[in-house]
Amino acid sequence: MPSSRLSLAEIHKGYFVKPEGDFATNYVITQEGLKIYRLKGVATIMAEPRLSEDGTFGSVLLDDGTQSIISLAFRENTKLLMSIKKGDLVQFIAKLSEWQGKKQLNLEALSLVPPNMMTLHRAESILTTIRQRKQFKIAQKIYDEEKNVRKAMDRAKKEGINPDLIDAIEEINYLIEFAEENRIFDSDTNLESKIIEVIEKLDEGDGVVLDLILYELKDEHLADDVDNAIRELLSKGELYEPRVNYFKRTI
Amino acid sequence: MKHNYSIEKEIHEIKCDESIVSFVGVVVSIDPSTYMLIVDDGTGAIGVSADKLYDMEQVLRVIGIPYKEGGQIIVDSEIIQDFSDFNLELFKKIQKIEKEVYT
Repeated sequence: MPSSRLSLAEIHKGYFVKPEGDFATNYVITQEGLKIYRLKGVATIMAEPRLSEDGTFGSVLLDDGTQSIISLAFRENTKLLMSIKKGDLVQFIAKLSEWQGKKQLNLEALSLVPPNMMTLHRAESILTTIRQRKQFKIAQKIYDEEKNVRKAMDRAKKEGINPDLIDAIEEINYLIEFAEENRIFDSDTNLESKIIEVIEKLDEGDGVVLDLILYELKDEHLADDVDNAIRELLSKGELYEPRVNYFKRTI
Repeated sequence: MKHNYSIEKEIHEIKCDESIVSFVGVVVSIDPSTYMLIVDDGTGAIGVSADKLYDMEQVLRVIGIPYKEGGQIIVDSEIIQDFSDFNLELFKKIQKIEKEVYT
């Protein structure tokens, strides 16, 4: 896959996708439907690179003026970090990855560049963004009007628009929905943690009565939500019911 | 607002409530006793505390943290890059287009 120039801000705003299949390459899909498999950029080294003692792993923080990103180097690529220092302006090519919800780069190439390369990189990044936005806008219009992916792709092709953009729109819609589900899931997990906290705080040995748990969380959560979360914790085995409507933390 | 990356600013925009800023300018004054530079980008001039002395009229890119001292804003430099031969005029044109495209 060829590399694409784009700002780190656009990468951070995009969605990380790890396709199924052992050899499939990860990518970030931007809000304008551009899939980035390899990123090319110009950035400043913000801190001295770190290398593991055995030299098989290293990391460095890059900042391109729009955002910063942790960039990793593994095995033979760690030598890329040996010739750079804090304050250097570098051009990099890297694959994209994600760790604990944060996007990262896996460096493949890195070299010192003169300052004017920063201007060139940013000019090319804007050009990429402008071209992509223009195409995406038309593709979105076709997608909205046709309401059928197959038809929309055929029409896009006829109108000189990359039909893959129709697929990209579908994918973005799915990713937005998926992100929303994750947000709801996070919120559920958060409520469960609060219930456990309340039980640990109020339990004097016999468990905590449901009404007291509901009272403690009444300002932040609906009684039904708390009740459902308690059932969920019971089914996970994190709580048990020593008496009817009394709940206790499993040790 | 605090950020974990440097925010590009014109010198006249720099305040003390930003965690880290960057700008490109020309050295117009040097105080060898305090290692303090005055850097001018055409919109304003600002004091920059440096680890070493640079040449007069040298073009630098400064990344640092602004703070107030004696009523004046000074940038405590984290990184200073030698931007000699940098086409500042062309860069400013690109920055202008970026503002239109990204905001």
